[in-house]
Amino acid sequence: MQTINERPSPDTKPRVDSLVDVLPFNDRIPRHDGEVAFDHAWEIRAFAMTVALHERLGFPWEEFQAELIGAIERWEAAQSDLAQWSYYERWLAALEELARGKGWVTGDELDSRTREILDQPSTKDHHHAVRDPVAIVPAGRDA
Amino acid sequence: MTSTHEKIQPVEGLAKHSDEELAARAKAMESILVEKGIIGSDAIDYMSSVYENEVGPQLGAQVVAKAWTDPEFKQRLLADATEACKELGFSGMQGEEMTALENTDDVHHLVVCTLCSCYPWPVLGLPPNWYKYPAYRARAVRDPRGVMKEFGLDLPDSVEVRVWDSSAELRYFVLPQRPAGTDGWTEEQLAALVTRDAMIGVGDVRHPEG
Repeated sequence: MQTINERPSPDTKPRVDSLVDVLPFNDRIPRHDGEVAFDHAWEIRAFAMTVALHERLGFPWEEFQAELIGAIERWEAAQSDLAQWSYYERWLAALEELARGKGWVTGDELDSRTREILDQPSTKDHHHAVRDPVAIVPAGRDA
Repeated sequence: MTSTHEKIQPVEGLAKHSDEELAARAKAMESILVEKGIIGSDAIDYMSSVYENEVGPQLGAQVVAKAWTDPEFKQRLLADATEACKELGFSGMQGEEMTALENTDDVHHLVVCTLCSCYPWPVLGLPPNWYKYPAYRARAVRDPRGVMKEFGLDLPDSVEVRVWDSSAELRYFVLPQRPAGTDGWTEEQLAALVTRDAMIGVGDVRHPEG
């Protein structure tokens, strides 16, 4: 039986923390009570994807670091207001560069899949309100 | 949603990417990598669980603590959770309704999305990975008491369990019972006792020590 509430092993978080610690513009990483935090679900998926790729495929973390620095520099070169950039938007740009460089995806594949996803209403499968309980286990059934 | 759009910055001098577009790009990347077998979605889920409690607005604990200390707010919350949550200063998701389900000595509520992962994001932040797993979606309906036991919640047999299906139009969250031994506590102290799992209904709130 699949364990539902599996938690990461205790050594995982320090390991991930140490990957975050060496990233550029560290003071710009959004945090909540000192912990790495995210405003949107896609941000944590982009983050988790990158760390998982690093751990599973074994490419050096420095390669992502370098892509992130490059992505931030490209943004700075194109913009006048240098203070206004979003860390995870740059993160995603860096991940895309890395994935293209590694030959995991092409730009065209990404563009067309993105369009497909945008064209699909996110709630198409489950729209209507369900106003009654879907199951009731009465009290004292086995008592 | 305008407030989140304003935060998004242009990519390489191109047109502004909205949050929706960024979400779609991240999803596109993930689906292609998984399809090609470069990485498994379980590996991504695992890494996202490291910080999953740090995502999103997470106003739920505040909402619950206020309901515990302010009976009039509680009434408004149970009557119309969407409106009551706005009082605490978030605009919520447009066109989507939320309902708070009050646990009592006799009835315990459990929330699931049987088809996908509909979830009251403005109140609870990011859904935990298990919320979208088929194992949870099916078993929460078939064997809710068994699921709760796995999360360490062993309800007395005298309690009726009701399972509610969140959808895109109507999302549920649970108003747990205030734990004993917290008389005179401030809202802030109480909010620290409220767990995400308690607001989904799979877990209990924290209890004061001693």
